Amino acid sequence: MKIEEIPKVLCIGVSIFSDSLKRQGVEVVDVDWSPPAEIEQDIKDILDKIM
Amino acid sequence: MSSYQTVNFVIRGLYRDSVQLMEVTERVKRLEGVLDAAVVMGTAANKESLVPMGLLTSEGEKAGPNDIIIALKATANVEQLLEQVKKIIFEIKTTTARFANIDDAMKMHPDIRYASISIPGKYVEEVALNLLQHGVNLFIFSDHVPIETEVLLKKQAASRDLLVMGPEAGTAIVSGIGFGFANKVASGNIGVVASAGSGIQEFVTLLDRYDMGISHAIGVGARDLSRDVGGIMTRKALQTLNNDEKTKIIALIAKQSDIAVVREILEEEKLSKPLVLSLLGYEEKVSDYPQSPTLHGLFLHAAHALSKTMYEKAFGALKKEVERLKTLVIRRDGYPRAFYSGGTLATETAYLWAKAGLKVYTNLNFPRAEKIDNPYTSVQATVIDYGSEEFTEGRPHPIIDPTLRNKRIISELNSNEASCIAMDLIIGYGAPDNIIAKIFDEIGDAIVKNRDKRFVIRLVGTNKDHQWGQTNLLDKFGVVTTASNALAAMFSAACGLGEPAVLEKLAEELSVEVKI
Repeated sequence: MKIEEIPKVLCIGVSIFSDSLKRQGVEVVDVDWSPPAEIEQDIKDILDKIM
Repeated sequence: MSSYQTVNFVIRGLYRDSVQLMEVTERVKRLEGVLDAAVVMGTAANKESLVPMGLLTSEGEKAGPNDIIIALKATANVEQLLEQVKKIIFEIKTTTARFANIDDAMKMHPDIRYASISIPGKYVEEVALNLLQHGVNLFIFSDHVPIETEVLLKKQAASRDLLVMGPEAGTAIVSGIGFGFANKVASGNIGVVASAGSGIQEFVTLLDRYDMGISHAIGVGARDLSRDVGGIMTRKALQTLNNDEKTKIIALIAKQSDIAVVREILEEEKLSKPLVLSLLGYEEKVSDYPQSPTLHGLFLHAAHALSKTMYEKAFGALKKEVERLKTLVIRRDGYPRAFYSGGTLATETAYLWAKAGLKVYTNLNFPRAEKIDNPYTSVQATVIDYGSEEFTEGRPHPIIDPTLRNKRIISELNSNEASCIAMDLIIGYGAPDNIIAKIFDEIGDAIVKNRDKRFVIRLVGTNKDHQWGQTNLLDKFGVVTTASNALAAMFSAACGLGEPAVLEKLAEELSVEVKI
């Protein structure tokens, strides 16, 4: 691969890294992220039994 | 003191990252009527960290890892306070316009070629695979990514001619753009490949100080040179720099590596450019390339590879620093203690202390030192890496949040056991704007009260970094600063042993490696 200039970066995660890229003049495309909802283990056990 | 109550509130199913929650906590602590506070995700490690602060109640104990715990010790009406805290939490989230998912972002911006990922490790795979399919090179800061995921991502990337920098990559500087923790350094012709984040920062800032610059610094992640990963990205990065027009010399920095993997790579990858390497704390030669167990030694090799003039300048500066530091050594009972935010720098210090003849205790996995039982309690000459997992799970890295390390430093300064204290202070991109001021706000009084102890800092940064203006505080508090971490380690070893000559002896070992 050839390393080229980096005008734009997609950021997913902590804001301080996204802010740092903006400070360097990079166009930052922030993507929202939250962990997927976790099913409680006992509900999962019940579902496993009935399905 | 007026009466107070300690309460926990749990917001179920709401996520904020550790840096956002650190900001929330700081703001909540400043609210009227709040004596102490912490706002954290309900992970086991975070709940545990609330216990010694007396901030965990039975309500908080019930929180899960996807819930936010608001823990308050307050004299004011807690119901009203809670409303204010919730407001802060929602304000923090809504400051930036964002895309809801990667596909939408890539549809709107199909020209994106780089992404920075810093989400909890167990969720990285899905996000990273999606981005690779979009043809995007990745910088992955996250730790706790399963090793199988790392291998999968790196194989996919290699087959698509893409870079995966990480997981557990602290730093990368590509085409002058810093990812993660990085510094503003001069552009030049030294290309860096490293499995050590703070190792990159130490090396490139040292180069910058003596007017040498870099083309790119590619962080490949702490585990890339393990047997499991087999150096997939180290190979890719070496070839990329070998073909890069700007790069004339390649520097390879490795820590905690499988030496057989390093040997294989150096034998198999045919490079047309000069290469210099550092295997941190490892002396045995693994190839015919110039090699050093320290980053300062690597710096001398790189200067030598550039030109005789550069080497003489670098070597002359080392000799001058040693002479200056020798005059500052204080003889005092007790042991040297070192508290680091950069693991590579901690390794370098443990190595040099052991080399000086000290018996070293540490939380690092370093064969020349004893593993410490409890990283919160020092034993004789102790080196602690505050960036290691036991200190960072569910909380920001110490480069961002120095509170925990500051508390330790204050207690060590006030103890009779410590004769000298060493630390790194990493500034630049990724570190808070007020980081130097914040650290000295907290530890400054203890330094002043304990002037009979030497306090040495390796400030990892350049005069182009945006926090540089605060460096006058180091002089104000009478702290000894050094041009490299190796020099800070050598100085603290000399203080610990009460022998200024230790500095000369260790410097000799650095310098004889390079012969003109």
